[in-house]
Amino acid sequence: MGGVNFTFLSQLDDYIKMKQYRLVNAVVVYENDEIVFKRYYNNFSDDSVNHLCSTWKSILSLTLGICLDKGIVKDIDEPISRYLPQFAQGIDPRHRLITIRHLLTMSSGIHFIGGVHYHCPMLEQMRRTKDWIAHIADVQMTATPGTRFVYKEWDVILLSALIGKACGGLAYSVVWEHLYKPLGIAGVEWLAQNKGSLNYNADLDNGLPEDGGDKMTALNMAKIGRLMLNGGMWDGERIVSESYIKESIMPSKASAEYGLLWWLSDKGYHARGFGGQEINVYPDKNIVAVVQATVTPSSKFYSDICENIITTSEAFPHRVS
Amino acid sequence: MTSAIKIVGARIHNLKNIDVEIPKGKLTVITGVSGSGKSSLAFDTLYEESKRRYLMFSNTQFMVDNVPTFDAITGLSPAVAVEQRITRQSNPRSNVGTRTKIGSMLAALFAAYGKRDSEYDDSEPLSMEMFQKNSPKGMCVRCLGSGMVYTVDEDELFRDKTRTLANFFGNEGKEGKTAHWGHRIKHFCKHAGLSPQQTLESLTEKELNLFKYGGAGYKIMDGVVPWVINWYQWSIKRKNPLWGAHLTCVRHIDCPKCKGSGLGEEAAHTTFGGKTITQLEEMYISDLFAFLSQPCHPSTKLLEEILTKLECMADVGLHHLALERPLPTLSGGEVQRLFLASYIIAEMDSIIFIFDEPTIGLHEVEKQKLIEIIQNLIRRGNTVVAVEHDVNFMQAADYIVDLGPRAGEYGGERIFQGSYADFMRAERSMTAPYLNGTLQMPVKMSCKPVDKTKRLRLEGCNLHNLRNVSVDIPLGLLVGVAGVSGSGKSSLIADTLVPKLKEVLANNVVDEFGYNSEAEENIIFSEAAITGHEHIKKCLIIDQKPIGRTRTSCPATYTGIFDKVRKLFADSPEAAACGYDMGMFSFNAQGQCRKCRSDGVIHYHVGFGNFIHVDCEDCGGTGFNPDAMRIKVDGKNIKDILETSVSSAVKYFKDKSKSAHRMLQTLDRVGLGYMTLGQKTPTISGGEAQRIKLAKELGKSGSGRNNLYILDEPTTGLSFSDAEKLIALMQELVDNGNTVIVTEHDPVVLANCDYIIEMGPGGGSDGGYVLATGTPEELRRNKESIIGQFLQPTPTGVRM
Repeated sequence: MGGVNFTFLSQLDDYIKMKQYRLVNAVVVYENDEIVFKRYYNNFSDDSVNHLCSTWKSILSLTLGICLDKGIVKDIDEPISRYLPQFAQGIDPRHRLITIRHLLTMSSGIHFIGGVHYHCPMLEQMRRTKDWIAHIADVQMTATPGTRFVYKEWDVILLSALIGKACGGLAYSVVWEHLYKPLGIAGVEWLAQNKGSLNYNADLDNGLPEDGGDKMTALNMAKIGRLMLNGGMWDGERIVSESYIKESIMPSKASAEYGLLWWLSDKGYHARGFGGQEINVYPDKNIVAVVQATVTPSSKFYSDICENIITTSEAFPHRVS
Repeated sequence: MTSAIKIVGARIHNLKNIDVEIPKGKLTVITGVSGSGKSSLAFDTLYEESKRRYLMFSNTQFMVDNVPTFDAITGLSPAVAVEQRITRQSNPRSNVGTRTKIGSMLAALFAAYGKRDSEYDDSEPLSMEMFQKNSPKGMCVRCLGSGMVYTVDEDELFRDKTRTLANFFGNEGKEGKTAHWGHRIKHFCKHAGLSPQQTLESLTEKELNLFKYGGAGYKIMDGVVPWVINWYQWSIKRKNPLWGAHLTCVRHIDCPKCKGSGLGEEAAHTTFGGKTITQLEEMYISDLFAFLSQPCHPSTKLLEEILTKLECMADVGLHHLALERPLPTLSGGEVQRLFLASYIIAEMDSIIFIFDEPTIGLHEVEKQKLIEIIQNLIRRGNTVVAVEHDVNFMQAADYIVDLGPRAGEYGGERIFQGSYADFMRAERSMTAPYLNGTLQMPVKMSCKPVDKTKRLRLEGCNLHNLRNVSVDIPLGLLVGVAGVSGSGKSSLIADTLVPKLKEVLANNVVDEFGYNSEAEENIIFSEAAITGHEHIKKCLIIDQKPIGRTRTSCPATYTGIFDKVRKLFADSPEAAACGYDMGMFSFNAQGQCRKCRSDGVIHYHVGFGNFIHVDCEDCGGTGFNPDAMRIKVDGKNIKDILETSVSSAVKYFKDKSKSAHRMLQTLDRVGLGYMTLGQKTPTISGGEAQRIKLAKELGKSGSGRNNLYILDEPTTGLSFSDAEKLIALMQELVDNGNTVIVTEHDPVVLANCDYIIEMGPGGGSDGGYVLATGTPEELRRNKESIIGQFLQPTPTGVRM
């Protein structure tokens, strides 16, 4: 089995230099819920915060889990048209079939054209409309809900709006009260968009204002992973039901590589965000590894770092000079 | 600067080591019968070499050692060429606006100067993409820019609640509906725990919803509403529409969100001069020009440029097109003139322009205008070389180069070079005798009378610019359809008659690579009505589309001769000894060269959309792998056979295969004797493709009578002598009891028709009426007719 590859970690500086990973800011590793490694670059420290980018989506998944526990949302298989009247008008007959689960599994069936480096052209058009949700309801349906996985922004925007509707405010109020506060995460309020009607924190297309939107320290991001690994418990307190955590990391009907807004792999499950933000959870090894990096238009991913961290010395594939 | 381009020792293809001199700053016409080597000289020698040198000196090119195809060329300058054969456009999303970039310019104009509806004005700047339906930033999200959506009339679909699931679509009709649907509903019921014999009203609300909209993820039918849309789309795209095509509950309607414009809200609520970009793109070029040149608009450089481009397009005879017109619906001639317009706008001098029959698709009146435009290019200091068969064009030329005397191995010589006046006296030329009056094109002396009881009637045609046209097409005759560009010829024949015939004759319409275009789809449900089709047994569309979809298609594969050839090889003792079957001698099976996939050449992209082609090393350019090449029949291997010309192959196959022999004879008769059996699709012109198709039909045994043949400009690319042959062939079809409808500009063909339908009077918004009908003689006397005056017999035949 083997746990953390400390040989690799001892040479991490060289590795990062060799690979010219100039934008990596933080690497944090927990094993058996104990911090075993922490390294900062670019003048980052314990208190430095970094954009969440799309790791926000996985946190939004936990938020929905909390809503189910608290009865704010009744059922994961409820049609979204009960919360979002724009989807109850029968614009497309399949709208009535879209459930909350479909949003969580990126399989609403609504057409989406992704972009290079987060420049999602369809989002740009949406931003100019008065009612984002009505606009998304107007977008062509290209698949029966639940049948086809397409990674897209629509589904999380809808989910966040739905949580807001359900709790009678914004989704952030739920996550702050029931997740950030108990975990001791100093959150920054999620961006309230479309005239403040909904939280949407993942998109960088328009260039986030320097201090806008949720950011986190690497240690706080690790807390999210540790909460997952602990089956929803924190300091002896139940934060999210264990059944929801388990469901989150099961493959969906639409994709074997995606759970409920969590990426799945043969080694574990992952929250990933543009520019190299990662929360990696390796349940077999009881390891949580976090990477943070500065977001630029030419950003890349650094998944090799964490893969090396959990690869034992014998099989260590990257020779370090 | 030298005064002439000198080509020494040109020998590509059938050219026989010829020397040619082309004066610079002049209009030179290259003539000769089809296959005499005109294109080999103009495009494969002159243009290719110019391109190679230009790319080399601008360092965008690398040297490739090819076998030289000439000894020397001097006096070259940069050349641009427009070939018929490469300009077939197939991207359904590109249209006149996108191709000419006027669409983008208009988008920029709207972004900068558009007036916004106050209700939709978010005071953020507009961007160009918002006016482009191919951009995800601008496209309507409902229809994704197409302007149309499919909807299901659920009230209609679920009206009869007493129907069982098994009989949901009724049992009337055909095409295996019962079995097809039965399979699906059985599968659905099994998973949903229902019985196919249950009625709709017996279902619970939950069950009914599952049946209507699905969502359970069943594989073959997940909800009947989404399913009928998919099934309908699939059905109508088939050559022979399946039962789904008759589902009336599915409608293809204008997108309710964008009202058919394909654009998002910003574009719909921004205007220029009171009109949206969609409205401008729907206007004919001539009307758009008039609208934008009104003095009330802000004067900007951008608008000026748009006007220049529009004016130029109108000048080259494209006034009848709208910017929204999809490129695949343009004729070859229209596409070529679109390119021509962009060159004229560029205002360059010292360029060599090489054109391939620029007068194709032009009415006599329009040809004159085109000649003037080309002469303007010359005046500006350019050189124009055109491959042409048109007399007026030859007369306007400063210099004539005639190749021949005949096609293929019997051609490739330089017969003449010099002035038009001297050309009339040229000996051995196949063209000159028609010009000097020694030979005359045939003129029909007596027209076959119209049989009033046998006619095809179209009523209420309104497609494109057609104005509620009703027309009788007499059967059993050679019927010509004439009219200036954009007058509605194609709208009437290709876009209305053909789809209607497909509807009523179903499998008896042969349209090889035809697809149901959106226009056709709309026609099926349009008001237009057809009667008299009961007199037609079979309808054959002989168009200019390529004869195959893959590059390895060739005349041999298309006409079925290649099957006989492969059998010949597979049956040889050598092949039998090696255990080779017919697949060994196929480009698409074991015989294929692995490296070039039977292309024979490897294409290297050298930038700017230019390619350099190098013979494949593995197969030496043959396209076959070495095993296949080793087998010989009568001392020839498979590649040798494919390199044989049709006329030589006729002799070779005489005793070998009766059907192949007959097919080859027919190919020879339609004037394709020079073509090799293996000539690849991309090098076959539209006119040649059309004649191959015609030959394939004629070469079948028992072609029969009461068939309807529809041909679109069949004289494209034909010299006088070849055109004469073609007219005789069409006449032969008519004499055998068939009907031929031919859309044509060529006065010679029209003069040889029994009956002419002339559309007009102008193009675009000025056209769309039936101007005149009757025999050529009647049209000559008809004051309404425009083409009539050109049908006058003169001492040198009608063409002069």
